[in-house]
Amino acid sequence: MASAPYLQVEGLWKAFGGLQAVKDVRFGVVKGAITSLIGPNGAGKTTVFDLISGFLIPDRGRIIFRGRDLTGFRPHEIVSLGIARTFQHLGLFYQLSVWDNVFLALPAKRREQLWAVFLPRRAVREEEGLLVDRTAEILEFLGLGDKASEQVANLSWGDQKLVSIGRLLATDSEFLLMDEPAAGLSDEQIVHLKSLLKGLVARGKTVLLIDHNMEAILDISDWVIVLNFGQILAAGKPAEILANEDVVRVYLGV
Amino acid sequence: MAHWLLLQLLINGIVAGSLYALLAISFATIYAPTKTFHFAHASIYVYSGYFLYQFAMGWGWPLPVSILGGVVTAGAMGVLVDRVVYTPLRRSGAGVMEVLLSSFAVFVVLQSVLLLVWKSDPRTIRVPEVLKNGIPFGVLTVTPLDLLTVATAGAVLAAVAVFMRYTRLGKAIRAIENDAGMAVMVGIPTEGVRMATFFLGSALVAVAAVFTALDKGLEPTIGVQALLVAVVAMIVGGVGSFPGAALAGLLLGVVENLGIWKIPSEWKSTITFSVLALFLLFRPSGFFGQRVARYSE
Amino acid sequence: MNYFFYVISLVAIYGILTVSLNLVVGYTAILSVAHAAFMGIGAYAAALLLTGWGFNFFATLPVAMAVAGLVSGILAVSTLRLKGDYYIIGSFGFQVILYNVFLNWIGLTGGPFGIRNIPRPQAFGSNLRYAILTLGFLAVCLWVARRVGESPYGKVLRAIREDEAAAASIGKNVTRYKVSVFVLSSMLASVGGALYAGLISYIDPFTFTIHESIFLLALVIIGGSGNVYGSVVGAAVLIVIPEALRFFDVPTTVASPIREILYGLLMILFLRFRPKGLLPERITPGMVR
Repeated sequence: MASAPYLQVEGLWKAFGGLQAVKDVRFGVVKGAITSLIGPNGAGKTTVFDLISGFLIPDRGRIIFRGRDLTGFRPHEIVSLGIARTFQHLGLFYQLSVWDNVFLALPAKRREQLWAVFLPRRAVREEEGLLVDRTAEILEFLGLGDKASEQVANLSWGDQKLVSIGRLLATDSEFLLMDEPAAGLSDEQIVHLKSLLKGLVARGKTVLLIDHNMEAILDISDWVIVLNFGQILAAGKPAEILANEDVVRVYLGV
Repeated sequence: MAHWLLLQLLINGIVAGSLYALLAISFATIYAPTKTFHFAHASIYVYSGYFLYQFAMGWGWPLPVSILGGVVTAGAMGVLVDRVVYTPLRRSGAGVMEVLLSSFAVFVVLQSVLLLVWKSDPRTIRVPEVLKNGIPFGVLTVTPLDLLTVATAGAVLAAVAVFMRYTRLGKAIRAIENDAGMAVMVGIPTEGVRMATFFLGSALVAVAAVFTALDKGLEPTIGVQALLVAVVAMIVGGVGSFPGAALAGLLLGVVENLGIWKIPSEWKSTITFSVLALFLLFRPSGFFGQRVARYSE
Repeated sequence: MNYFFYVISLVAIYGILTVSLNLVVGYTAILSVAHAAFMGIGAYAAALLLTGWGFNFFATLPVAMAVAGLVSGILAVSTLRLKGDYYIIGSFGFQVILYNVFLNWIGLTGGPFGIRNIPRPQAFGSNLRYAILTLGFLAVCLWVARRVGESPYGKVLRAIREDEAAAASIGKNVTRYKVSVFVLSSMLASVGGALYAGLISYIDPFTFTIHESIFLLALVIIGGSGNVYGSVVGAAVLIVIPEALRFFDVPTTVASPIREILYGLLMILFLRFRPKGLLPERITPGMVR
């Protein structure tokens, strides 16, 4: 093989009771690309995310990330390996401020350990100064700077989605899984989202995203994988997918 | 040799276990469909014993009528707790944690009211002599009350199984247990079913309480122990599995009583807890339950 | 006046117990019904070391905390990795068992007769001085709770309270946080228990029941879940009011059920009509600079 893929999903199976949610799914993700996982509701897209991010354990199959088998790692350990995700329902910390949501996701804070809580402020001032700068930088990048001290529960849906992306970035992960980032956004906001995503790739991130609306994100995707009833129906460049008869049939329900 | 002793303990275990099976099923009847961790179930248990005491000893009703009265009153009381405390709380937008906290509070209030009404002295219920005279089988003895206990528990459990499987209401309860949202969509009157589960669960726990009271008498504090048994049996059997819970209850009774062979009886609940601890550590889903998720989404 | 200082000490001790429980229940939304058991561990550890081994009172505290920390760690590790209800069941079982241990391990605990003549530290013998001592401990406890609450650690606890999966998705080891805060809480509770033993000078198993655990939960809820000052207020209100019953000629067999009915009803009413309690939680937006 010329270049081993960045992420390799090998023969993944997952069932819930009698429902086979994911059937023999295998695909690769190339570093520095935007890969889209599309398909109708209930196709198993989020299950694939849950499997990669350690929230579910596959019945069969393996996930290899940069040569490392992810099987058996718990969700927080997956993050420390450099993979982070968002949720379709966002799952923000709604009682906390925008600032705290992003700040908390930054890794390696000493005062996140119980014993270090009692350190004098000046012992952590320098370290936390850097974290403060990093938080401010992320909020600035997302255009949330002036909303930093607002409680997340009071934000609009669009801003909440930005916070979820901010939280994702703050984990410092290089591989980002985004569950339906475009859902519920206006056309304008989608344009903003696309430029954000391109900006992320330019900064060296790799993106795998879920979308059930074919058109929204397809044009900035480098590779598209179509799931249907837990199986891969097609995979290819966006143009190929749009021309694929099977895919069109699934989407139009013909 | 102590073979006969072991056998006697086994028999005692089966008698106790048949009531434990009832306890487990009674708690699961409410917990599985409503997801309410009904701590005040412990109070319903104690109260049903005292209702029986009041009817039989206080007002001199015939024993069978008193038993039936105790069971029905307990059922009504369970529904009342739900309607007066849990349901208004749920409707005010409180979460699972608040409802659970309120169930602790209900337990405390009911317990204290009981102390004011019936005082803390132990009570016994007069039972026809014949029921308590042991029937010897070689060196072993069984009382008619024991036999009646096991027979009643068996019959009630069988009736519950038939009820859950074949009646409309039973099917509705199981439907809500599997998927509450779906149950609402297909038009199951969930509030009505909820009341039915509270009635049924409370009546079932009363059956267990009544037979315990006839055999061992009453004290205001017996509820917590009974609740612990019920919950442990439910976990060991696997949440959501009624046969599992019943079987685990039976097993728990046997294990506790066999344990007495070597361990003083005041450590009974420690044995119960050890069984729980082992399951929580190694098999939290119990014998027949679904795998326990690591994180709730 | 002497009695007044006795009540002050009692309020301070229950303040410590409630503040420590609030770390678990309020900050993290872990529901524990075993707090009285850890109070009991502290009380028994101190009482045994004081009466049997001639320990200095202050030397008993590290031992009490170590025992409570160890035991709570084992309980937490085995149950906190599971979903919510399982934890409640674990703590419920643990509370019942520990009560049984206090009651039935007669060789160690004196069983139902308890332990008598527990001395106070020499310099704090009078009720006034003991009140000062307990208030000092309450102040330390509040400082710890504040420090924990306002740190990034405390913010992660709040994050876990809202959404465990989301906390895990940003790389936080949820189990480790829950276990550590639970151990801290139990250790503080053991200090409260030790101070209690010194104040009353007599302990028996009937103080450390599940009712006591529920009483402490009621104090947290009524005072304000997540607000540690609320916990002190809650403790003050619910200790002082029933103490006032003593001035009326109510026999204890009636007074203690009335006290329980009072806090039980208050708890239900607060949950229903003022779930945030007397002093609602305030989370600072946290611009750390």
